[in-house]
Amino acid sequence: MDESTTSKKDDPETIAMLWWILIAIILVSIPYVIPSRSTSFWVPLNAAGLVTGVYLLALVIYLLRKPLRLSRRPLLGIIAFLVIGVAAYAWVSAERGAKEVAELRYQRRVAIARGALVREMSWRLTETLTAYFHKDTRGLKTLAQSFLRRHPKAMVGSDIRLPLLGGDRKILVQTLEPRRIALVGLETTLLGRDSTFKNYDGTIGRVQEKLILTERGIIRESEN
Amino acid sequence: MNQRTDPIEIPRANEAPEFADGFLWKLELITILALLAILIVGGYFSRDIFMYFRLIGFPWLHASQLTISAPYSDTHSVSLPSLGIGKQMFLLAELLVSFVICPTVFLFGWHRRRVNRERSQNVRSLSLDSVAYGFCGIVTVALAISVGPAAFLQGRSTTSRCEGDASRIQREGMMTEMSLIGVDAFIYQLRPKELGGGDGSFAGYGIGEKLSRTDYGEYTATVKSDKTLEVKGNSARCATNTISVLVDTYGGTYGWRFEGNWLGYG
Repeated sequence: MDESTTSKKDDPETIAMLWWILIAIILVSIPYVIPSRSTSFWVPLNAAGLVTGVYLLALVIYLLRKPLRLSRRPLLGIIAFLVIGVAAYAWVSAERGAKEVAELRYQRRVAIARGALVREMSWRLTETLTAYFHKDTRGLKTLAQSFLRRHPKAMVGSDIRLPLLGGDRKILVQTLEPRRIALVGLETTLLGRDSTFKNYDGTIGRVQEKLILTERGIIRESEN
Repeated sequence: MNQRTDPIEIPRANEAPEFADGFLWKLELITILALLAILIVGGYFSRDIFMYFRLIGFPWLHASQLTISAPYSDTHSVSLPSLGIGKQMFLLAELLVSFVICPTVFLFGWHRRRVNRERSQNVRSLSLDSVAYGFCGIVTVALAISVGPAAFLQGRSTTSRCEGDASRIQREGMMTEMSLIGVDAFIYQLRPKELGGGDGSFAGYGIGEKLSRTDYGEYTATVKSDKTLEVKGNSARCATNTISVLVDTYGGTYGWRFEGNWLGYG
Protein backbone atom coordinates (compact mmCIF):
# COMPACT_ATOMS: atom_id res chain seq x y z
CA MET A 1 0.00 0.00 0.00
CA ASP A 2 1.29 3.42 -0.81
CA GLU A 3 2.59 5.29 2.21
CA SER A 4 0.66 8.37 1.35
CA THR A 5 -2.56 6.50 1.54
CA THR A 6 -1.68 4.97 4.90
CA SER A 7 -3.67 6.53 7.61
CA LYS A 8 -1.58 8.14 10.31
CA LYS A 9 -3.57 6.11 12.75
CA ASP A 10 -2.17 2.92 11.25
CA ASP A 11 1.44 3.97 11.72
CA PRO A 12 3.11 0.94 13.45
CA GLU A 13 5.03 3.13 15.89
CA THR A 14 1.88 4.94 16.92
CA ILE A 15 0.05 1.65 17.28
CA ALA A 16 2.93 0.37 19.46
CA MET A 17 2.69 3.49 21.60
CA LEU A 18 -1.05 3.07 22.00
CA TRP A 19 -0.53 -0.53 23.04
CA TRP A 20 2.04 0.53 25.63
CA ILE A 21 -0.35 3.11 27.05
CA LEU A 22 -3.31 0.76 27.07
CA ILE A 23 -1.43 -2.06 28.78
CA ALA A 24 0.10 0.35 31.30
CA ILE A 25 -3.30 1.82 32.21
CA ILE A 26 -4.64 -1.67 32.83
CA LEU A 27 -1.56 -2.84 34.79
CA VAL A 28 -1.42 0.28 36.95
CA SER A 29 -5.15 0.27 37.64
CA ILE A 30 -5.37 -3.40 38.66
CA PRO A 31 -3.47 -3.18 41.99
CA TYR A 32 -5.27 0.06 42.77
CA VAL A 33 -8.82 -1.13 42.22
CA ILE A 34 -8.47 -4.67 43.59
CA PRO A 35 -10.21 -4.64 46.98
CA SER A 36 -7.55 -4.60 49.68
CA ARG A 37 -7.76 -5.65 53.31
CA SER A 38 -5.40 -2.85 54.19
CA THR A 39 -6.71 -0.04 56.35
CA SER A 40 -4.54 2.50 54.59
CA PHE A 41 -5.10 3.86 51.10
CA TRP A 42 -1.33 4.10 50.74
CA VAL A 43 -1.06 0.34 50.18
CA PRO A 44 -2.99 0.21 46.85
CA LEU A 45 -1.48 3.54 45.85
CA ASN A 46 2.04 2.24 46.51
CA ALA A 47 1.29 -0.91 44.53
CA ALA A 48 0.09 1.21 41.60
CA GLY A 49 3.18 3.40 41.97
CA LEU A 50 5.46 0.38 41.96
CA VAL A 51 3.88 -0.91 38.76
CA THR A 52 4.26 2.57 37.25
CA GLY A 53 7.95 2.59 38.16
CA VAL A 54 8.53 -0.80 36.58
CA TYR A 55 6.57 0.32 33.52
CA LEU A 56 8.65 3.48 33.13
CA LEU A 57 11.88 1.50 33.42
CA ALA A 58 10.67 -0.93 30.79
CA LEU A 59 9.62 1.96 28.55
CA VAL A 60 12.99 3.67 28.85
CA ILE A 61 14.85 0.43 28.13
CA TYR A 62 12.60 -0.21 25.14
CA LEU A 63 13.09 3.27 23.70
CA LEU A 64 16.85 3.29 24.21
CA ARG A 65 17.22 0.28 21.93
CA LYS A 66 18.81 0.31 18.49
CA PRO A 67 18.86 2.16 16.12
CA LEU A 68 19.44 4.91 18.68
CA ARG A 69 23.12 5.79 18.68
CA LEU A 70 25.03 3.87 21.34
CA SER A 71 26.75 7.00 22.69
CA ARG A 72 23.41 8.56 23.59
CA ARG A 73 22.06 5.62 25.48
CA PRO A 74 24.03 5.75 28.76
CA LEU A 75 23.40 9.47 29.35
CA LEU A 76 19.70 9.26 28.63
CA GLY A 77 19.43 6.05 30.62
CA ILE A 78 21.14 7.65 33.63
CA ILE A 79 18.87 10.71 33.46
CA ALA A 80 15.78 8.52 33.26
CA PHE A 81 16.88 6.23 36.11
CA LEU A 82 17.82 9.25 38.22
CA VAL A 83 14.40 10.87 37.76
CA ILE A 84 12.61 7.60 38.54
CA GLY A 85 14.87 7.06 41.57
CA VAL A 86 14.28 10.55 42.96
CA ALA A 87 10.53 10.17 42.38
CA ALA A 88 10.57 6.84 44.24
CA TYR A 89 12.51 8.40 47.13
CA ALA A 90 10.16 11.40 47.23
CA TRP A 91 7.18 9.04 47.24
CA VAL A 92 8.51 6.94 50.13
CA SER A 93 9.53 9.97 52.20
CA ALA A 94 6.21 11.68 51.53
CA GLU A 95 4.34 8.66 52.85
CA ARG A 96 6.56 8.35 55.92
CA GLY A 97 6.41 12.10 56.59
CA ALA A 98 2.64 12.33 56.16
CA LYS A 99 2.08 9.43 58.55
CA GLU A 100 4.45 11.00 61.06
CA VAL A 101 2.63 14.34 60.88
CA ALA A 102 -0.77 12.60 61.14
CA GLU A 103 0.42 10.60 64.14
CA LEU A 104 1.76 13.72 65.88
CA ARG A 105 -1.49 15.54 65.20
CA TYR A 106 -3.31 12.62 66.77
CA GLN A 107 -0.99 12.74 69.76
CA ARG A 108 -1.58 16.46 70.04
CA ARG A 109 -5.29 15.83 70.13
CA VAL A 110 -4.75 13.16 72.77
CA ALA A 111 -2.67 15.60 74.84
CA ILE A 112 -5.37 18.27 74.62
CA ALA A 113 -8.11 15.76 75.49
CA ARG A 114 -6.06 14.39 78.39
CA GLY A 115 -5.58 17.92 79.73
CA ALA A 116 -9.29 18.70 79.46
CA LEU A 117 -10.17 15.43 81.16
CA VAL A 118 -7.78 16.03 84.06
CA ARG A 119 -8.97 19.63 84.49
CA GLU A 120 -12.63 18.60 84.53
CA MET A 121 -12.06 15.80 87.04
CA SER A 122 -9.85 17.93 89.28
CA TRP A 123 -12.47 20.66 89.25
CA ARG A 124 -15.09 18.17 90.51
CA LEU A 125 -12.79 16.88 93.21
CA THR A 126 -11.65 20.29 94.43
CA GLU A 127 -15.31 21.23 94.61
CA THR A 128 -15.79 18.24 96.90
CA LEU A 129 -12.78 19.10 99.01
CA THR A 130 -13.77 22.77 99.24
CA ALA A 131 -17.16 21.73 100.61
CA TYR A 132 -15.47 19.26 102.94
CA PHE A 133 -13.16 21.88 104.45
CA HIS A 134 -15.58 24.79 104.34
CA LYS A 135 -16.68 25.90 107.76
CA ASP A 136 -20.35 26.01 106.76
CA THR A 137 -20.30 22.41 105.63
CA ARG A 138 -18.01 20.94 108.23
CA GLY A 139 -21.02 18.93 109.30
CA LEU A 140 -20.26 16.71 106.35
CA LYS A 141 -17.97 14.25 108.04
CA THR A 142 -16.56 12.43 105.08
CA LEU A 143 -15.33 13.15 101.60
CA ALA A 144 -17.94 10.75 100.22
CA GLN A 145 -20.74 12.72 101.89
CA SER A 146 -19.36 15.93 100.48
CA PHE A 147 -19.13 14.37 97.01
CA LEU A 148 -22.66 12.94 97.20
CA ARG A 149 -24.02 16.31 98.21
CA ARG A 150 -22.95 17.63 94.80
CA HIS A 151 -23.62 14.39 92.90
CA PRO A 152 -26.56 12.77 94.71
CA LYS A 153 -27.03 9.98 92.15
CA ALA A 154 -23.38 9.01 92.04
CA MET A 155 -22.41 5.45 92.82
CA VAL A 156 -19.48 3.23 91.96
CA GLY A 157 -19.42 2.78 88.17
CA SER A 158 -21.76 5.69 87.38
CA ASP A 159 -20.93 8.48 84.94
CA ILE A 160 -21.13 11.83 86.70
CA ARG A 161 -20.58 13.87 83.57
CA LEU A 162 -23.60 15.76 82.29
CA PRO A 163 -24.38 14.75 78.69
CA LEU A 164 -25.10 18.36 77.79
CA LEU A 165 -21.42 19.20 78.26
CA GLY A 166 -20.75 17.36 74.99
CA GLY A 167 -17.53 15.74 73.89
CA ASP A 168 -16.65 12.08 73.92
CA ARG A 169 -15.76 11.89 77.57
CA LYS A 170 -16.90 9.90 80.54
CA ILE A 171 -16.11 10.52 84.18
CA LEU A 172 -16.81 7.37 86.13
CA VAL A 173 -16.76 6.89 89.86
CA GLN A 174 -14.36 4.09 90.68
CA THR A 175 -14.10 4.41 94.45
CA LEU A 176 -16.49 6.14 96.80
CA GLU A 177 -15.17 5.64 100.32
CA PRO A 178 -15.44 7.99 103.27
CA ARG A 179 -11.84 9.18 102.99
CA ARG A 180 -11.03 8.29 99.41
CA ILE A 181 -12.72 9.06 96.11
CA ALA A 182 -11.32 7.87 92.80
CA LEU A 183 -12.61 9.15 89.48
CA VAL A 184 -11.70 7.58 86.17
CA GLY A 185 -11.87 9.79 83.12
CA LEU A 186 -12.18 8.28 79.68
CA GLU A 187 -11.86 9.74 76.22
CA THR A 188 -14.04 7.32 74.30
CA THR A 189 -12.80 8.04 70.78
CA LEU A 190 -9.06 8.37 71.28
CA LEU A 191 -6.50 5.64 71.71
CA GLY A 192 -4.03 5.92 74.56
CA ARG A 193 -0.48 4.66 74.92
CA ASP A 194 -1.35 0.95 75.10
CA SER A 195 -3.85 -0.22 72.49
CA THR A 196 -4.51 -3.42 74.50
CA PHE A 197 -5.27 -1.64 77.78
CA LYS A 198 -8.61 -2.65 79.26
CA ASN A 199 -10.51 0.48 80.20
CA TYR A 200 -12.69 0.82 83.25
CA ASP A 201 -15.87 0.89 81.12
CA GLY A 202 -14.90 -2.30 79.27
CA THR A 203 -13.60 -0.66 76.09
CA ILE A 204 -10.09 -1.38 74.94
CA GLY A 205 -7.14 0.94 74.50
CA ARG A 206 -8.81 4.32 75.11
CA VAL A 207 -7.25 7.29 76.88
CA GLN A 208 -7.80 6.87 80.62
CA GLU A 209 -6.84 9.18 83.46
CA LYS A 210 -7.46 8.57 87.13
CA LEU A 211 -7.57 11.09 89.96
CA ILE A 212 -7.69 10.01 93.59
CA LEU A 213 -8.90 12.41 96.22
CA THR A 214 -7.92 12.14 99.87
CA GLU A 215 -7.75 14.74 102.59
CA ARG A 216 -4.09 15.28 101.65
CA GLY A 217 -4.94 16.25 98.11
CA ILE A 218 -5.26 14.82 94.64
CA ILE A 219 -3.08 12.11 93.12
CA ARG A 220 -3.02 11.71 89.37
CA GLU A 221 -2.48 8.39 87.66
CA SER A 222 -2.25 8.54 83.91
CA GLU A 223 -3.35 4.99 83.20
CA ASN A 224 -3.44 4.95 79.41
CA MET B 1 -1.80 -22.02 -22.68
CA ASN B 2 -2.39 -19.30 -20.38
CA GLN B 3 -3.41 -20.32 -17.01
CA ARG B 4 -5.46 -17.73 -15.31
CA THR B 5 -5.59 -17.65 -11.62
CA ASP B 6 -8.06 -15.68 -9.64
CA PRO B 7 -6.43 -12.87 -7.73
CA ILE B 8 -7.34 -14.14 -4.28
CA GLU B 9 -5.76 -12.05 -1.56
CA ILE B 10 -4.80 -14.05 1.47
CA PRO B 11 -4.10 -11.68 4.31
CA ARG B 12 -0.84 -12.45 6.04
CA ALA B 13 -1.14 -13.00 9.71
CA ASN B 14 1.11 -10.13 10.68
CA GLU B 15 -0.79 -7.69 8.53
CA ALA B 16 -4.22 -8.62 9.69
CA PRO B 17 -5.66 -5.75 11.66
CA GLU B 18 -6.58 -6.75 15.19
CA PHE B 19 -9.00 -3.93 15.61
CA ALA B 20 -11.00 -1.76 13.32
CA ASP B 21 -9.12 1.20 11.94
CA GLY B 22 -8.72 3.83 14.62
CA PHE B 23 -10.24 1.72 17.38
CA LEU B 24 -7.22 2.04 19.68
CA TRP B 25 -7.10 5.74 19.06
CA LYS B 26 -10.73 6.22 19.96
CA LEU B 27 -10.42 4.04 23.04
CA GLU B 28 -7.39 5.89 24.34
CA LEU B 29 -8.73 9.29 23.47
CA ILE B 30 -11.83 8.55 25.52
CA THR B 31 -9.68 7.24 28.40
CA ILE B 32 -7.41 10.28 28.37
CA LEU B 33 -10.34 12.67 28.17
CA ALA B 34 -11.97 10.88 31.09
CA LEU B 35 -8.76 11.09 33.15
CA LEU B 36 -8.32 14.78 32.34
CA ALA B 37 -11.95 15.41 33.22
CA ILE B 38 -11.39 13.75 36.62
CA LEU B 39 -8.37 16.01 37.22
CA ILE B 40 -10.25 19.15 36.18
CA VAL B 41 -13.34 18.29 38.19
CA GLY B 42 -11.08 17.42 41.16
CA GLY B 43 -9.55 20.89 40.92
CA TYR B 44 -12.95 22.53 40.63
CA PHE B 45 -14.18 20.89 43.82
CA SER B 46 -10.90 21.32 45.63
CA ARG B 47 -11.26 23.42 48.78
CA ASP B 48 -7.83 24.92 48.32
CA ILE B 49 -7.32 25.60 44.64
CA PHE B 50 -3.81 26.99 45.23
CA MET B 51 -2.78 23.81 47.04
CA TYR B 52 -4.38 21.75 44.26
CA PHE B 53 -2.33 23.30 41.49
CA ARG B 54 0.84 23.38 43.60
CA LEU B 55 0.67 19.64 44.10
CA ILE B 56 -0.78 18.57 40.77
CA GLY B 57 1.26 15.98 38.96
CA PHE B 58 2.57 14.43 42.15
CA PRO B 59 0.09 11.85 43.42
CA TRP B 60 2.18 11.15 46.51
CA LEU B 61 1.95 14.80 47.58
CA HIS B 62 -1.81 14.77 47.20
CA ALA B 63 -1.90 11.49 49.11
CA SER B 64 0.19 13.08 51.89
CA GLN B 65 -2.21 15.98 52.04
CA LEU B 66 -5.15 13.59 52.30
CA THR B 67 -3.41 11.64 55.09
CA ILE B 68 -2.69 14.78 57.10
CA SER B 69 -6.07 16.40 56.63
CA ALA B 70 -8.07 13.20 57.16
CA PRO B 71 -10.32 13.05 60.18
CA TYR B 72 -8.73 11.27 63.12
CA SER B 73 -9.53 7.61 63.32
CA ASP B 74 -8.83 4.79 65.72
CA THR B 75 -6.42 3.14 63.34
CA HIS B 76 -4.52 6.39 62.68
CA SER B 77 -4.88 5.69 58.97
CA VAL B 78 -7.28 6.31 56.13
CA SER B 79 -8.63 3.44 54.06
CA LEU B 80 -9.18 3.73 50.34
CA PRO B 81 -13.00 3.44 50.49
CA SER B 82 -13.16 6.12 53.17
CA LEU B 83 -11.56 8.57 50.74
CA GLY B 84 -14.63 8.50 48.53
CA ILE B 85 -14.78 7.51 44.89
CA GLY B 86 -13.88 11.02 43.66
CA LYS B 87 -10.57 11.22 45.50
CA GLN B 88 -9.73 7.60 44.71
CA MET B 89 -10.21 8.22 41.00
CA PHE B 90 -8.39 11.53 41.22
CA LEU B 91 -5.24 9.92 42.62
CA LEU B 92 -5.30 7.19 39.98
CA ALA B 93 -5.97 9.67 37.17
CA GLU B 94 -3.11 11.85 38.36
CA LEU B 95 -0.74 8.89 38.41
CA LEU B 96 -1.81 7.72 34.97
CA VAL B 97 -1.66 11.13 33.29
CA SER B 98 1.60 12.27 34.91
CA PHE B 99 3.60 9.08 34.96
CA VAL B 100 2.13 6.83 32.28
CA ILE B 101 0.45 8.66 29.42
CA CYS B 102 2.51 11.83 29.19
CA PRO B 103 5.95 10.16 29.50
CA THR B 104 4.92 7.49 26.99
CA VAL B 105 3.66 9.95 24.39
CA PHE B 106 6.63 12.24 24.89
CA LEU B 107 9.29 9.52 24.89
CA PHE B 108 7.86 7.74 21.86
CA GLY B 109 7.72 11.06 20.01
CA TRP B 110 11.22 11.98 21.08
CA HIS B 111 12.53 8.53 20.07
CA ARG B 112 11.01 8.75 16.62
CA ARG B 113 12.42 12.21 15.99
CA ARG B 114 15.86 11.19 17.24
CA VAL B 115 16.00 8.00 15.16
CA ASN B 116 14.81 9.78 12.03
CA ARG B 117 17.42 12.47 12.50
CA GLU B 118 20.17 9.90 12.93
CA ARG B 119 19.04 8.18 9.75
CA SER B 120 19.19 11.60 8.07
CA GLN B 121 15.58 11.29 7.14
CA ASN B 122 13.21 14.15 7.11
CA VAL B 123 11.52 14.37 10.42
CA ARG B 124 8.16 12.94 9.74
CA SER B 125 5.32 14.41 11.59
CA LEU B 126 4.22 12.19 14.38
CA SER B 127 1.12 10.14 14.11
CA LEU B 128 0.10 12.09 17.09
CA ASP B 129 -1.30 15.48 17.15
CA SER B 130 1.65 17.76 17.79
CA VAL B 131 -0.39 19.54 20.45
CA ALA B 132 -0.59 16.30 22.44
CA TYR B 133 3.13 15.74 21.95
CA GLY B 134 3.91 19.28 23.10
CA PHE B 135 1.60 19.07 26.09
CA CYS B 136 3.01 15.73 27.19
CA GLY B 137 6.54 17.02 26.66
CA ILE B 138 5.90 20.01 28.91
CA VAL B 139 4.30 17.83 31.59
CA THR B 140 7.06 15.20 31.50
CA VAL B 141 9.98 17.63 31.50
CA ALA B 142 8.38 19.84 34.14
CA LEU B 143 7.77 16.86 36.41
CA ALA B 144 11.26 15.45 35.84
CA ILE B 145 12.85 18.79 36.71
CA SER B 146 10.64 19.55 39.69
CA VAL B 147 10.56 16.11 41.31
CA GLY B 148 13.81 16.78 43.22
CA PRO B 149 12.91 20.26 44.55
CA ALA B 150 9.39 19.01 45.37
CA ALA B 151 10.88 16.17 47.44
CA PHE B 152 13.18 18.61 49.25
CA LEU B 153 10.38 21.07 50.02
CA GLN B 154 8.10 18.26 51.13
CA GLY B 155 10.79 16.98 53.52
CA ARG B 156 11.32 20.44 54.95
CA SER B 157 7.62 21.02 55.39
CA THR B 158 7.23 17.65 57.15
CA THR B 159 10.10 18.43 59.53
CA SER B 160 8.68 21.82 60.41
CA ARG B 161 5.17 20.38 60.90
CA CYS B 162 6.52 17.62 63.11
CA GLU B 163 8.53 20.05 65.22
CA GLY B 164 5.51 22.33 65.54
CA ASP B 165 3.24 19.49 66.60
CA ALA B 166 5.79 18.03 69.01
CA SER B 167 6.10 21.48 70.54
CA ARG B 168 2.32 21.75 70.87
CA ILE B 169 2.12 18.35 72.57
CA GLN B 170 4.90 19.38 74.95
CA ARG B 171 3.17 22.65 75.73
CA GLU B 172 -0.22 21.03 76.25
CA GLY B 173 1.28 18.38 78.54
CA MET B 174 3.06 21.01 80.63
CA MET B 175 -0.09 23.13 80.90
CA THR B 176 -2.06 20.12 82.15
CA GLU B 177 0.56 19.35 84.77
CA MET B 178 0.84 22.97 85.85
CA SER B 179 -2.95 23.13 86.23
CA LEU B 180 -2.72 20.11 88.50
CA ILE B 181 0.01 21.81 90.51
CA GLY B 182 -2.36 24.76 90.78
CA VAL B 183 -5.05 22.41 92.09
CA ASP B 184 -2.56 20.85 94.48
CA ALA B 185 -1.58 24.28 95.79
CA PHE B 186 -5.22 25.28 96.07
CA ILE B 187 -5.95 22.17 98.15
CA TYR B 188 -2.92 22.94 100.31
CA GLN B 189 -4.16 26.43 101.16
CA LEU B 190 -7.63 24.99 101.71
CA ARG B 191 -6.47 22.45 104.28
CA PRO B 192 -6.38 23.51 107.91
CA LYS B 193 -3.01 23.77 109.60
CA GLU B 194 -3.64 20.64 111.67
CA LEU B 195 -3.80 18.65 108.43
CA GLY B 196 -0.55 20.16 107.14
CA GLY B 197 -2.22 22.82 105.04
CA GLY B 198 -1.83 26.55 104.67
CA ASP B 199 -5.22 27.43 106.17
CA GLY B 200 -6.05 30.08 103.58
CA SER B 201 -2.46 30.88 102.57
CA PHE B 202 0.02 29.50 100.05
CA ALA B 203 2.87 30.10 102.50
CA GLY B 204 4.86 26.95 103.02
CA TYR B 205 3.65 25.24 99.87
CA GLY B 206 6.08 23.00 98.01
CA ILE B 207 5.43 20.88 94.94
CA GLY B 208 5.41 17.16 95.71
CA GLU B 209 8.15 15.00 94.23
CA LYS B 210 5.82 13.24 91.82
CA LEU B 211 4.51 16.49 90.38
CA SER B 212 7.77 18.44 90.32
CA ARG B 213 9.55 16.36 87.68
CA THR B 214 7.82 14.56 84.82
CA ASP B 215 8.49 13.54 81.23
CA TYR B 216 7.27 16.94 80.09
CA GLY B 217 9.24 19.19 82.40
CA GLU B 218 10.43 20.35 85.80
CA TYR B 219 8.34 22.66 87.91
CA THR B 220 8.96 25.07 90.76
CA ALA B 221 6.54 27.10 92.83
CA THR B 222 7.18 30.51 94.34
CA VAL B 223 4.84 32.07 96.85
CA LYS B 224 4.28 35.63 95.66
CA SER B 225 1.91 36.48 98.48
CA ASP B 226 -0.49 34.69 100.81
CA LYS B 227 -3.04 34.73 98.04
CA THR B 228 -0.86 34.26 94.96
CA LEU B 229 1.46 31.50 93.89
CA GLU B 230 3.62 31.43 90.79
CA VAL B 231 4.29 28.09 89.13
CA LYS B 232 7.13 27.93 86.64
CA GLY B 233 7.89 25.03 84.31
CA ASN B 234 10.99 24.28 82.28
CA SER B 235 10.44 22.05 79.26
CA ALA B 236 12.24 18.70 79.47
CA ARG B 237 12.63 18.75 75.68
CA CYS B 238 14.06 22.22 75.32
CA ALA B 239 15.38 23.84 78.49
CA THR B 240 15.01 27.39 77.15
CA ASN B 241 11.27 26.93 76.73
CA THR B 242 9.47 27.94 79.89
CA ILE B 243 5.90 28.49 81.00
CA SER B 244 4.75 30.38 84.06
CA VAL B 245 1.31 30.83 85.56
CA LEU B 246 -0.25 32.39 88.62
CA VAL B 247 -2.62 30.53 90.94
CA ASP B 248 -5.20 32.29 93.09
CA THR B 249 -6.88 31.11 96.26
CA TYR B 250 -9.90 29.92 94.31
CA GLY B 251 -7.72 27.41 92.46
CA GLY B 252 -7.89 29.40 89.26
CA THR B 253 -4.88 29.76 87.00
CA TYR B 254 -4.27 32.99 85.15
CA GLY B 255 -1.55 35.00 83.45
CA TRP B 256 -0.04 32.19 81.40
CA ARG B 257 3.33 33.26 79.99
CA PHE B 258 5.29 31.34 77.39
CA GLU B 259 8.95 32.07 76.85
CA GLY B 260 11.44 30.55 74.46
CA ASN B 261 10.76 29.08 71.07
CA TRP B 262 7.37 27.40 71.20
CA LEU B 263 7.06 26.26 67.59
CA GLY B 264 3.64 26.28 66.06
CA TYR B 265 2.61 29.32 68.09
CA GLY B 266 3.01 32.72 66.49
